[in-house]
Amino acid sequence: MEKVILESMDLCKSFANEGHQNHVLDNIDLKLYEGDFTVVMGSSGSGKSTLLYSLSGMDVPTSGKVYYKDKEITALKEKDMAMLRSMEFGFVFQQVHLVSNLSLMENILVPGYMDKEKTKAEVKEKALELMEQMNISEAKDRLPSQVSGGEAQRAAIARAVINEPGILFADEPTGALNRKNTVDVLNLLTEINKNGQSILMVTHDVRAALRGNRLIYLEDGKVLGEMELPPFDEKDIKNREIQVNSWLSSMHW
Amino acid sequence: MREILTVIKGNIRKNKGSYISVAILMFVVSIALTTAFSVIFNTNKRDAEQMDSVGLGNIMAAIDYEYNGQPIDEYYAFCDELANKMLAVDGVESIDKIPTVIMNIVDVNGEDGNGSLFVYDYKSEYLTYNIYDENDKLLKDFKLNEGEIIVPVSFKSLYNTEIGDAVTLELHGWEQEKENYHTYKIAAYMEDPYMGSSVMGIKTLLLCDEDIASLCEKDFTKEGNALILSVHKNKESKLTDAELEAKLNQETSYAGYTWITLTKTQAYNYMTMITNIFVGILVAFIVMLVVATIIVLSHNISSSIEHDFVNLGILKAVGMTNTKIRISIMLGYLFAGLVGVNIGVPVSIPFIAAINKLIRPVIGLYPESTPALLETIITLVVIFVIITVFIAIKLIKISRITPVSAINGGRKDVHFSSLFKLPISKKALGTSLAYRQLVSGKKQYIGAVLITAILTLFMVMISDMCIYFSDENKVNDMFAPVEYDMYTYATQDSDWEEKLADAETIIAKYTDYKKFMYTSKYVLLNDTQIWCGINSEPEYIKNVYEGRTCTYDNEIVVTEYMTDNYGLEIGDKVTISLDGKSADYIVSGYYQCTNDVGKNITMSLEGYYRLVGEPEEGDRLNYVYDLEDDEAAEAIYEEITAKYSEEEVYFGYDTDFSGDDVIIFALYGITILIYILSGIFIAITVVLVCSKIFAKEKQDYGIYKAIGFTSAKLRRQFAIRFVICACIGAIIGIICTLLFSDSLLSLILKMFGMYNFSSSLNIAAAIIPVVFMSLMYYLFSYIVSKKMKKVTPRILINE
Repeated sequence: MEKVILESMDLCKSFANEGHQNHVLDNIDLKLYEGDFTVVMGSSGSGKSTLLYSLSGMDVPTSGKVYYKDKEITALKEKDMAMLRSMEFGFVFQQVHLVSNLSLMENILVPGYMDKEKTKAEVKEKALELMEQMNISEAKDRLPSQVSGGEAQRAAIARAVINEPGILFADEPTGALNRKNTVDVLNLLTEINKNGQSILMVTHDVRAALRGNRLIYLEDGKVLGEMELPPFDEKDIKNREIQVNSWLSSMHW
Repeated sequence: MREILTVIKGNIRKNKGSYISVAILMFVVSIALTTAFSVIFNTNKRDAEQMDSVGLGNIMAAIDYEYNGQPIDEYYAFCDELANKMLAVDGVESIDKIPTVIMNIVDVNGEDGNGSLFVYDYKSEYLTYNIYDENDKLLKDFKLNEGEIIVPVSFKSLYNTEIGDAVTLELHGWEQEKENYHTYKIAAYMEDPYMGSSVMGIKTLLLCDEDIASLCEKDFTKEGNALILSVHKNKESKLTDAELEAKLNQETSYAGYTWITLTKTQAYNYMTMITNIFVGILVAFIVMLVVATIIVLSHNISSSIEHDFVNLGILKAVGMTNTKIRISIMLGYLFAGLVGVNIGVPVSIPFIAAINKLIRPVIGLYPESTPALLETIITLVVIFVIITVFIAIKLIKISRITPVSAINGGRKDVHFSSLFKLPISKKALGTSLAYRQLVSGKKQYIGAVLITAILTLFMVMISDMCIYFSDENKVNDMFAPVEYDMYTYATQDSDWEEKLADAETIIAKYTDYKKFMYTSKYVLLNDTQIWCGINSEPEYIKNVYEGRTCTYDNEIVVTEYMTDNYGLEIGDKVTISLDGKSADYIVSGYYQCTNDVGKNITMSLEGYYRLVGEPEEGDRLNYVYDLEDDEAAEAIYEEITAKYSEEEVYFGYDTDFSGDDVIIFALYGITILIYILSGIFIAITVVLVCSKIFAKEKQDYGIYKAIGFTSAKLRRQFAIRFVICACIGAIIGIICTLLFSDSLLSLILKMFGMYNFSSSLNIAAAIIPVVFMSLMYYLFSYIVSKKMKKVTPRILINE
């Protein structure tokens, strides 16, 4: 029996627009399981990013509840929410969003330093280890403006996982990258997922979606369908692509 | 033109905070400027007008005479003869012989008073003073009754008087005899443009003719005990008052016969001195505020160009020229400034009235409260021209923007020098991140740092002055060229020497002391009357800061005032005259002494004897005592006065200058004003700088929130940056204070006779402004960063 890590109940998000209510998320009930690589797909404006940010507490839903490990995060105060983001959640954005005046290493260290349980040396060691793993250790002292988009995004992933979060949220992490960097980043995400990291990723890129073991399709703020896949295996990629494309066609993708 | 107006409207709509801030800065500057200028110009104008209206001439000379036995008709005849000689001097139009009673103040409401007085008949045919009631209402046809007195309005600040209070006077030359005391009730206040200021030691009072007759019935005429020769200069004469004074002395040696002589120009300088000094400090501060405004404006324009880079490129793409864009931005700022000025100038009127009311008892004048519009407008036009040129220079960089570069982004990558880089610390994560944000955007904070430095310079400077002038010893230092704690006057008692020796054994019981002779005389130096200190121990003369003291009997020390006004340099030879005798002296050094606003010299007792001849057997001298334990002075005084009457041995220990309270009052007033204006400037600077930085760094806050920072933590981090700015600025300000403060203050205090102001930086004076600045920066930046709460990581989302 898989363990539920994140759960939404009747999750709604609306925006007022010139007197009209635009319902971006419409009563979404969703469960995410520990160790899964869940991918949310959907057409542009389907509400997939809004879903990711509502589930992660980055954005406040209009109604409904979100539970993380049985704790209702929609009721948390700012301080507790910040603590949750610091210790339990990791984020990777479409645009790199590294702090521009901190080096790659420092960008990774800052959330690590917020963990009071760890010593400075432990945080540094972990950061170096991650940079090594992500192949960016040579660029550790460079500013975000002095590295490639792929290196910056890998640093962003390292920053997201330095505190070993319960779940990693990734919003179109390859959206702003070239082909080579896209593959590098996806390989990295696949690798950390294999090491047990739960991931929720939003994408409209089929190649990125292939990395997930669970695909959710969103349309007009509602979950239209789901698909289960075996863990990603490079050798089986062609077959996996056919399966996913067929499923997406059934969703009118 | 329409497109420019449209762009201006758009700019104002978009950057209304910036424009409002510029308007507020100019509003504050224009209020301060209008108020300062109006107070200074109205005071100076009032004094000049009142001098003409009162009727005293260009030189007033109180003719001295021996009281013992000289018949009054001989004195009058002498004065007539002298006046006729003076009248014959080229440049003299007429001379009035004004009767007066020379008196001293004994006490006011029981509080000891000091200083000499010219008492006139309030219905004098020569002099017409304005009379006021308690509420400063001008009284027409005021009738003064017997037993009543009219005092200068400065009595309010000097003695806290009210109408009905008692003033006790004694006839000059009859001191220490209580039967000569005369007490009157204050019936009204007068405006005396010659001697009315609280910083002047001599004052004018008015009595009714019956009281004057009663005062003088003993020995004098019914009109008074002395005559003032009021010399009116010929209207065609091109001589200055000082030149006329020198000429009169060359041809008549009149000053040798005077008890005191004062020119209109000297009186004007004394009367307006306090306003000129303190408003001068304020005007200097306002100049710095204008500089601060330009700095804020500079930062704002740079940030706006960076922020609106894309929009500016688009404007160029649709055909707006560089000139049109520059004009639209410039007009926007000038319009905002103009709005501030237009509100500020009329708003200053109540401030002018309030300050006039406050300083009236200090300066002794009733200046108008109308704004000095012409002077203010001319200055504001100059300020606007400077600002316009400055904006034009700052806007040059607009020409470097091309539509393509703008539309491609505009924001430059972050690079910063590793010189200031410090590692991010785990223990002080917030502070180290704040520091990093600061050094990576140094340019944005330069304005705040510079403004803090300027404000600190003034705050420390004014605090130093407050501390300096609050120190009784230092104030006494300024006025007395020698240091002493007690003094004694020779009395007529037949056993004075024995009683004085006994009194000195009382002093010795309490503390060790140094005793020396010290007095002063008015002498003629190159035909000009100068205050001259005389003391038996020239090595005790303090504040000799160049050359050396007057060790030998042919030497004098002079103030730098004498250099500026009479060209005296060390090594120069001068002729000094007194009572018809003359001797040559060499200037041996410069010293500081503010007596007669610096118009003074000092010589040794031997030097004095060289001028007037050796003393005769039995001549009595006035002595002063420098106590090792100066705290003992009061107890010593009590014991001596319990044993001997003032007629036997006269001792005093209070050497307070009566004007020091006034100076301290004015200084504290200016200090408060400088702190208030600084507070407003910091608030506006922080609002402007913060809002631009906030807009620029909004995304970073989203990132920090996404990785677990709370709004409170980020706000503190934001505010810490400004505290660091405040500290850096304050340190620069303190260094500037150490380097420039004394010279800056000496420039202003020259008016006061202080040519060598030397303050030692007081820790409290330095720390208070630093703490004040840091708190203000922290507070305002924390308040401004309230909108941090509204930033959510959602701003990082690309839908």
